Amino acid sequence: MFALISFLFFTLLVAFFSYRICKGEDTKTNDGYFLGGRDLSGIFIAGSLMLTNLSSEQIIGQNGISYSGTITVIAYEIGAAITLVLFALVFLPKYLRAGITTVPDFLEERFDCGLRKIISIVFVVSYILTYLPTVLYSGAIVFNQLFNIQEITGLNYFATIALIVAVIAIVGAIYAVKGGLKAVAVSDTLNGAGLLIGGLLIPILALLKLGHGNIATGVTELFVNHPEKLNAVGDKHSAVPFAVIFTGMLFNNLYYWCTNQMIIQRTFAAKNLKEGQKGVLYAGCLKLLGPFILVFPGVIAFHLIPGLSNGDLAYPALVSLVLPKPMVGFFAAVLFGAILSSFNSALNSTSTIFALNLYKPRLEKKGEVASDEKVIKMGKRVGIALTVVSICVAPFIMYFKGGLYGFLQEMNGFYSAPLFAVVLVGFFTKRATAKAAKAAMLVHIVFYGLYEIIKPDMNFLHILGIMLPIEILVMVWMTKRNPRPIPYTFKRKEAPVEMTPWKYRYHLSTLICVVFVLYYVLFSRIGLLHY
Amino acid sequence: MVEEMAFMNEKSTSKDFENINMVAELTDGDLKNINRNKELTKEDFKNINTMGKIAVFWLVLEIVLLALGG
Repeated sequence: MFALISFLFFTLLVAFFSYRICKGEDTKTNDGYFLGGRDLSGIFIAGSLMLTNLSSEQIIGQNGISYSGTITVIAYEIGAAITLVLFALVFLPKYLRAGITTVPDFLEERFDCGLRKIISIVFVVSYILTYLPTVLYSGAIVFNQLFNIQEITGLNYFATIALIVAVIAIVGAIYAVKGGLKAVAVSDTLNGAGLLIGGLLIPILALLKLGHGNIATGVTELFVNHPEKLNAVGDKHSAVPFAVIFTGMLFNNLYYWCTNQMIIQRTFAAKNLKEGQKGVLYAGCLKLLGPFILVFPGVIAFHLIPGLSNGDLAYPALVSLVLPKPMVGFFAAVLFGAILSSFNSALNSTSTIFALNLYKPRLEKKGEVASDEKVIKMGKRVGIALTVVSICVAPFIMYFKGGLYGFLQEMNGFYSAPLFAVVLVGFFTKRATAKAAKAAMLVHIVFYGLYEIIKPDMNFLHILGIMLPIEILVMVWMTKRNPRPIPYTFKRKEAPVEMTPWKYRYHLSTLICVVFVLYYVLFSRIGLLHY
Repeated sequence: MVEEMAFMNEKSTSKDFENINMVAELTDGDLKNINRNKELTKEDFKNINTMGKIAVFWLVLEIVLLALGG
C-alpha cells in the first residue's frame, strides 16, 4: 500500500510541476505547439534527450548482456557521448541556422519535396509500426516483472500487460497531445532527475551488499574475481567488437543522435544556439554516466546472483535483492517516467511530422489555407488516434515475439544509414542533387535487402560500416556527373534564434572525449584489469 | 558546300528541328545556368571531393579492420 501511495505521489508530483512550468505557454501556433515556442533552455533539452533515448528494455537488455558476457555494450552509451559532441559542434548550428521544425523540412529545402515526402512517410510508418506499440509493450513487461503487477491485480498475464500499456499510453498522451513539445520536455527532465537518482542508487546499494556494507570492498571484489567481465574492449564475438566503434557503431549513433526526428526535435526548440549546445553537451556528460545505470549493475548481479538462466532476469533480480521496500514506490515512479517519456516523445514527433510535412502541404496543394489552428488540430487528432492504435496493438506483440518484433526492428535498417548519408552530403556540399540522394537510398535498399536475404556471419555494425561510405560515394559520383547548376544556399536570410555559440563548448567537448578514452584505457588489460 | 547544306535541309524532318527549337525557347535564366554549369571549376567540387575522400577513408578503414579480425 505504501509503495502504491509513494508511486502515485511521485508520478503526480512530476505532473504538477510540469503543469506549473508550462502553464500559460503558447500552444496555439505551430512553433509554440510543435517546438515549445523555441524557448527551451539547456537543462530541459538535456533532460529530454536523455529520457527520450532511455527506455526500460535498454536497462534490462544492456544489463543482461553485461551479466552474460562483458561490458562491451558501454560503447552504446559512451559512443553516444562522442556523437553528441559532433552534433553540438557541427550539426546543430546548421539545423538552427536553417530554422527548420523537422528533418524532412531540411530535405525539402536542400533537395526537393519528393524527398521530404518519402522520408516523412518512412518516419511516420516506422514510428507507428516499430516504435510506439513496442515501447509500450516492452515497458509493460519490465514494469510487471519488477513490481509483480500481475500478482497485485490478480489479472491474467495478457490483461495485466494491456492494463499497464493503457495507463502508460494515456498518461503519455496527456502530456504530448495537450501540452505539446514543451510539456514533453519538462516532464522528461523531471523524470530524468528521478531516474538519475534511482538508477545510480541500484549499483550503490548492490556494491554495499557485495562489500558487506563497504562500497570499496564491493568494487575490489569486481576487479579481483572475474575481472575479464569488466573488459570494455571486445573481440569479434563480443556484443560490440572494438573495431566497429570507429565505423559502424559511429554511423549508427550518428543517425540516431543527428537525424532521428524523435531525438533531435527538442534541440530545434532551443532558445538560442548557446542553450542548444549546452543541452546537447550536458546530455553527452549524462551519457558518460550511462554505464553506471545500464551496464555495471549487470556485472554486480553476476557476483551477487550467479547462475540465472537468462541475462535479462539479472536487473529485476538485483532490484528485488537490494532495493529497500519503502523505496519501491519511488523506483516504480522513476521507471514509469522513463517508459512514458520515450512514448510521449515519439508520439509528439509522429504527429509533428504528419501535421507539418504531410497534412499541411496537402492543404496548400489543394489551395486551402493551412492555418496554425487547423494544423495543430490535426496534430492533436493524429496523437489521439495513434495512442488508441498503440493501446490496441501493443499487448498482441507477445504473440509475435521474436517474429514480427524482430522483423520490424530490422526493417529500421532500411532507412537509417541512407538518411544520415543524405543529410550529411546535403549539409556539406552545395552541388549534390535530389537525384543523387534518391539513388543512394535505392542502392542502400538493394544492398540491405541482399544482406537480409543472405544473412552473412558478420556483425550488423560492420555491414553499416561498409554501406554508408558506399552510399556517400554514390552521391559523390552522381553529383560530379550531373551537379546542381546553382549552389545551394539557405533560403532564410536570418536564423530564427540567436546564433552566438556557447563559450565553453570546446572545453566540455574535450572533457567528454578525454573521459571516453579513459573508459577504454581503464577498463582494459592495459588499465585496471590484470588477468 | 552551300549546295550540300541546301540538300541536307531539304531532307530534314520536323523532328530534326526539335532540339533547335528547344534551344531557341531557352530564356536568359536557362542560359545563365548552362553557362554556370560550364564554368564549374575544381573549387566548386571541393566539398564533394573532400566528402568522397572521407568516404573512401572510412571504407578502407572498415575493410582493414574486418581483415584484421573485426
